[in-house]
Amino acid sequence: MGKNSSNSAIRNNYWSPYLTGVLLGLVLLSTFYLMGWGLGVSRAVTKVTAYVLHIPFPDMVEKNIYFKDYFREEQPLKDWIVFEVSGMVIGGIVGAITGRRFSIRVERGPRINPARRFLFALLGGIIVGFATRLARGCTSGVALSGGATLALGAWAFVIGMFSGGYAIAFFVKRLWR
Amino acid sequence: MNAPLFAHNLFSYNFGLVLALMIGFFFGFLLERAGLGNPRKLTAIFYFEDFTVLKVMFSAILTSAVGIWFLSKVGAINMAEILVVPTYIWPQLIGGFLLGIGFVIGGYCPGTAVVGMSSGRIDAIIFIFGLMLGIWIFAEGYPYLKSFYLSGYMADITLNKWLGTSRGIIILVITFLAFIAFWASEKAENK
Repeated sequence: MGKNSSNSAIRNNYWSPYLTGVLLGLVLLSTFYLMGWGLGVSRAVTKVTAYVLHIPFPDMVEKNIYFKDYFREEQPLKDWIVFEVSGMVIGGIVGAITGRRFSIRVERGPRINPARRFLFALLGGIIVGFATRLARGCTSGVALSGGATLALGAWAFVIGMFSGGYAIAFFVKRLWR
Repeated sequence: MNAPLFAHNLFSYNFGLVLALMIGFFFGFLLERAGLGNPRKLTAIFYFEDFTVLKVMFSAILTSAVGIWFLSKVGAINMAEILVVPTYIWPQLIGGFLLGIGFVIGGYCPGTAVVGMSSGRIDAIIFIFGLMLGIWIFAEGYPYLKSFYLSGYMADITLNKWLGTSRGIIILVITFLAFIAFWASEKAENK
């Protein structure tokens, strides 16, 4: 697998997806065993967003009925999920450096320039950010953690996610292929 | 039955934060090792070329689901204290759909963007900036979105409760489907 593929650039020395998946599942299981909840990311991004917005616009954040669950005055970032995502950053850096994959770059398809890649990264980010709030989480918090506990909504989310991805893929093929 | 340990006050909140750092470390490290910090690899599933996303995701879900089931069967973990993501069926279905669209356009989901950024990708930093903007837009629009956001509430319903069967049977079915998907992925990749 992969050796005679034209896509060797995206298959360089990565670990087996099955092995990595099982190890990731054990990390998730340990999290449930230790804490009683699973992994997550978008909740942390929401807390950081509220924190960052509070600096220039304190009134706006404090009066916002959605942000009120995500912001507190005292030590706003001393929070389990924010620490977990901080750990992810360190783990990602260590993984990339030890795998000799760390380099400052713009990852893009062969037919798109960096400026356009940035534009679409921003647009995609906005859509995903909005989507995570609607769904109450992302691939980590809903699909993985919810999926492992067999939550109905999590499996609806997974079906929605793959449907959305396959529905749009054809129209934005130039971004990646 | 003394797990989840945190719920039984077996360690402090601050020690929980140390665990959070460690858990996050392994999470980020493993995503990077699987190649999931690379948006070209992440989006390749949608062009039927590389199914790493599916393989990692379903291996992880299955491992964890079997583990939770086993630990509750032997009485090591109290299911009542395990968080089951509350189901709000419509916003989760539509939120998932939108996330899938944004995933292909932007190249990441939130967790993989964190790892993409950690491996030096500038586009991942821009994507995360986009995430924050999208979250802000949602928060500002919340008064108008609230009724949809709260629709289809079904509390902590699970697939087994919904279908009126046991957790074990559902896990068996998911395992069966996952192995078919793995087999089909290998077939498609070797074409």
